[in-house]
Amino acid sequence: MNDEMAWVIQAQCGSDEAFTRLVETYQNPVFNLCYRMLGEPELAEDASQETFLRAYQHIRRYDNKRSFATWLLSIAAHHCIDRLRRRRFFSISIEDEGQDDEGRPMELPDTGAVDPAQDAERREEQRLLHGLLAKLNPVDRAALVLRYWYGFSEVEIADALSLTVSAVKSRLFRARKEIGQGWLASSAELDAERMPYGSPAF
Amino acid sequence: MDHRLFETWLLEKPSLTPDQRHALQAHLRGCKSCAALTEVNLALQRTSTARPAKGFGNRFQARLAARRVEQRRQAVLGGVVLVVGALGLLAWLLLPFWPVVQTEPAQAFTVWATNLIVLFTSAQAYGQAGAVLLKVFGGMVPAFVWMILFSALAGSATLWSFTIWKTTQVTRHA
Repeated sequence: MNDEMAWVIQAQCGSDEAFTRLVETYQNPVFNLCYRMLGEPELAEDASQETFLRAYQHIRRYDNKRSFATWLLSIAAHHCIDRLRRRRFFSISIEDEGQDDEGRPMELPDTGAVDPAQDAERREEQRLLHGLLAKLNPVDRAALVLRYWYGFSEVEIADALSLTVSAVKSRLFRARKEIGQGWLASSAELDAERMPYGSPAF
Repeated sequence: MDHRLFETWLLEKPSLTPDQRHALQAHLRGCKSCAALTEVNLALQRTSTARPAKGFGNRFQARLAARRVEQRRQAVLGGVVLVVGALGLLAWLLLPFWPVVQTEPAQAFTVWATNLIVLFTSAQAYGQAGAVLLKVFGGMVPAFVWMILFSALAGSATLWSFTIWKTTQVTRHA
């Protein structure tokens, strides 16, 4: 039995200390998922805290045969999807939110970037991706985040989001296509900004 | 080859033969839309992880403690409301019997016995009247109407049971 499973079993028996260990272990993945889903650090903090509270309240219902990470991220994803649906109901758009650098959460250093220029380029790329993610349907967004940030298989995504595997495939297909179209449009805008007086002929 | 085929390869990412890979590379040089999809795929594979501000665990402990206090407060409030409500209902139900309580024991017993006799006699009378009505009108109603009526009742009972089962089912994610 690994440490994580031991903590889960102890938490199921009512140990707050064991649950705190689980919070410490999973705070980054849960926060990252909430941030990618909701687009704002304050909302992501609140959603991640709520995710852990729900997990704490329902830990006895957790089936030890399932992966704990999948179970926890599933709670986070469903909570964020519910929030986004409620937000859409109240007609508040997040498209223009989360674009400001102030108050953004700390991102783990990019080990792939070797020089400042490349690092800046990557940051710009991530900012663009973040904006495009915010325009996706909440469930499509959750599927894409679980696929790329957590390396979940289509079967695991289906399990986490209570979907069929074919529904996951079609959602991933649609999400990638929408992001691709957004990326193309943003690249064209960027090119136009870089040479405002230039002619396309040159 | 058709643009849509290349687009599908990029979106579904099947394993490609060397010839297909060459064809895709050639297509990517001339197609901005497919080139953007490739860039998106690469960008998604280079994603970084956002992490919360320091002290997340402490903030969780504080929130958990606050939630417990709130739940305890709600439980106490709910209990008080329940007890006050039950007492009020009991008082309201007993109010008509208050004059009886104030009378002599023998008189009170007589009143109670009379009430019980009236109750049983009424029930008997209603039962007899119902039986007569069923005998008279039961024969007038065709058999298929009874079948429809009982089918509708069975259907409603099934729908009701299914609704109860569906609403009380525990969701898998929490």
